Amino acid sequence: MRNCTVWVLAVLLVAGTWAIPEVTHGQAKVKILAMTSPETRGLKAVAAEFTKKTGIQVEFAEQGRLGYFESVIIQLVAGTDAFDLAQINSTFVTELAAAGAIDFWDEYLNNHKLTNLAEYDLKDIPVIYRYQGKITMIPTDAMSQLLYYRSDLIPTPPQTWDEVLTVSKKWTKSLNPQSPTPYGDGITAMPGPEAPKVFYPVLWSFGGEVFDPQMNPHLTTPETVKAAEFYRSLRPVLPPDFSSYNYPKVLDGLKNGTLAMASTYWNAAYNDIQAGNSPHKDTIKVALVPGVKKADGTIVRKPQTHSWGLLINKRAPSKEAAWKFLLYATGKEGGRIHGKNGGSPFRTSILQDTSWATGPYYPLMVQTLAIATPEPQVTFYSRMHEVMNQMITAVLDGKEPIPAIMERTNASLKALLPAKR
Amino acid sequence: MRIAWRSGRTLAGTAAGLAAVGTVVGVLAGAAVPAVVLGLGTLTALYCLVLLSVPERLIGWMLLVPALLALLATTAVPIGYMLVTSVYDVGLTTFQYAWRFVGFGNYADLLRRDPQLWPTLWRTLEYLVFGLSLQVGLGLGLALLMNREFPWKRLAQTILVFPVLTTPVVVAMLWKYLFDVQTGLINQTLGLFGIEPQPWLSVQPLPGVSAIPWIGNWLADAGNFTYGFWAIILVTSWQWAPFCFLVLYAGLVSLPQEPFEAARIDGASAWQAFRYLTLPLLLPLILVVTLLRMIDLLKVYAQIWVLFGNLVNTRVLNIHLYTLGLGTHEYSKASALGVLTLLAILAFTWLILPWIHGERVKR
Repeated sequence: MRNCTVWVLAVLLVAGTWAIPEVTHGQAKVKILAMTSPETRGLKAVAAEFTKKTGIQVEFAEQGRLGYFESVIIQLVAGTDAFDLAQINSTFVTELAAAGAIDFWDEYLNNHKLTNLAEYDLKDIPVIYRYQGKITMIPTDAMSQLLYYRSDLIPTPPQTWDEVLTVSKKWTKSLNPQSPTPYGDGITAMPGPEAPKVFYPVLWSFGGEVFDPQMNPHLTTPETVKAAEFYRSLRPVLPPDFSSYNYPKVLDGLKNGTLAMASTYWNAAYNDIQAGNSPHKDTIKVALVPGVKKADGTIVRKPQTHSWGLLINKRAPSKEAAWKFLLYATGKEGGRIHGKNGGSPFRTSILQDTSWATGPYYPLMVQTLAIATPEPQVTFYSRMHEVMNQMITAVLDGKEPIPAIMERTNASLKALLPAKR
Repeated sequence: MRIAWRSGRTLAGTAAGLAAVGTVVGVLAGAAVPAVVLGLGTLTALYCLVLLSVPERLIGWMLLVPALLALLATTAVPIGYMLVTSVYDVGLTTFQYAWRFVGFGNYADLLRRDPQLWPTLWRTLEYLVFGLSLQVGLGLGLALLMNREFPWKRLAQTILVFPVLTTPVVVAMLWKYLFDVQTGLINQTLGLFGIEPQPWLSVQPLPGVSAIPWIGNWLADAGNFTYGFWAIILVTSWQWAPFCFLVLYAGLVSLPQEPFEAARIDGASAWQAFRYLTLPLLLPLILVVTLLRMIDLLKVYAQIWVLFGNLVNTRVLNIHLYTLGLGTHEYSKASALGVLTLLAILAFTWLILPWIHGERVKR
């Protein structure tokens, strides 16, 4: 019996050895960890063209939206070598740079053998992300917010937050039984990566800030309280289950006619709506995010911006090939292909060139990016974001007085400061 | 026989030697996959050699070794790592650098300063009590129902098993659509009876709760009697009550028939037969199911995450643990919470195990 067992194991061992995959010593392959999205669809088109030109294969490992950020951050921090480039939102870049998980771009950009700086044209890039003076990321996609509205119901889009509330009330069934849409407005209030970012345009346009210029928490000011009070006043025009509304649910709401408007929603959704088969797709239009009217009649609008881009994994196995792809993807030619295939081009020259891009979307994006503001780039971003998520939940919950919420949030942010690294 | 033994040992020894050489070559050549495969081959061959060499009485123990090693690698090592990280200051920006020893600082920080910990713990206990009662109660009810003869019984049993076979994320997605205020099937159905759409996925208090004298406001605010919290309990109960049914039904059909026949002859009513025969005989199994479900309920994550993300009003211990570990990347605090959760599960298990053992002894 024992001999029989040994023979079986020996045979399995030999068979297993035969089955060992052959080690490939050929062309380098670039491996990219990416999230399933229109931006990744665009990047894949860029990769196909890049492979045609260089012969370098580009392989995408795609993950769904749910838990993507957590997954990519943990893999980079743990020091994986499973991929060369990781697609990520710019908001996490500072933390990852401080963690020592990514390579800076400077050494590649300044290497004449690898980069033709004149041809690459850094001046054409509106925002470059840096940590301690070194470049961490040049984006592939510009992300900001627009106002989405049903033009068959709302001929002129609201310009101010007050107008948003007035128009939303008109198109909320519980307040106006004649309204064909059940709710006037929809926001991504479900805690997660988006909820604070959707609140910031309100906060900033009312004159509030998360931190003052000396980096002290600054949420107890009258402007901030006013912004939060406005946010709370939206409750009657939002779906009652607003706390379960994330990016896909707002998108569904617009597409299926549940929402008359999404006052602060992501530009990436525009292509999604246009490419889909919603019965309302032709009437859903976009406009600038609303703001606050000043005494001189001007409107202060402060859409939030972040970008999507590719980070160089510190332990990337094929760094040189990965750099070649990065150069191409963030360059003028790659950017154009990216834009034509669902991405949101980042270079000014591409956004301003209307020869290939039709409709109101691209000129609006140029306008939006010119006034858009990024979130605080801090090394404790994830913890700050969680504190802000809790604040927004409390504001929309409607139970606690706003000043008390702001005091508590300020204290929580203050507690993060000594620990900032 | 002796020759065969020797040839077996020779074979295993040769295989181990060759595989070891292959492993070294693989490592030197930088071929990771072949090196790992051949390394495992070396271990397998060495294991064979040991199996052939140990006395007969030790063979049983030796056969346990691979399973014990796998258990050690997948359970003991991560738990050990969690214990270590819980006493250091480890976060996203410090993970790759030297870790600062803080002793029980993370535990103290968590228990004293984390504003979400105690509400989360209370919510977890509520979820456990209500979820467990509903699942075991429904499971028992279904088992008793299926123990009777009726047409299409087999089909009904098969349908009942479907939820258990479905991934929790899929179940939650399905319910998210069913719960939708406007387009969800539940509200559409209620609408047929003239009932207003209900905000299932909101944190609004359940209807009538606030009106309860004395405790109404407390139930609505801190007691988690909200649509959202009960929607979570409903979703997990829908999925797992059939599991309780399966186990209890298996127990029910294997009960001895003699006591039931004797009770019938003595004129016992159906309720008396259930109260004095079925329930006591089934009790050990009910306790086992309760223990299994309790452990599983404490692990709940996917359903809540899909329905509400890490909304503080619906957050249970696991969601909070996830938020600390992978949301805010406070690895050491998450480890401390993990250790506390583990201790809580062990305490529960320790409390309930003597009951199960006691019931077995009584039987």
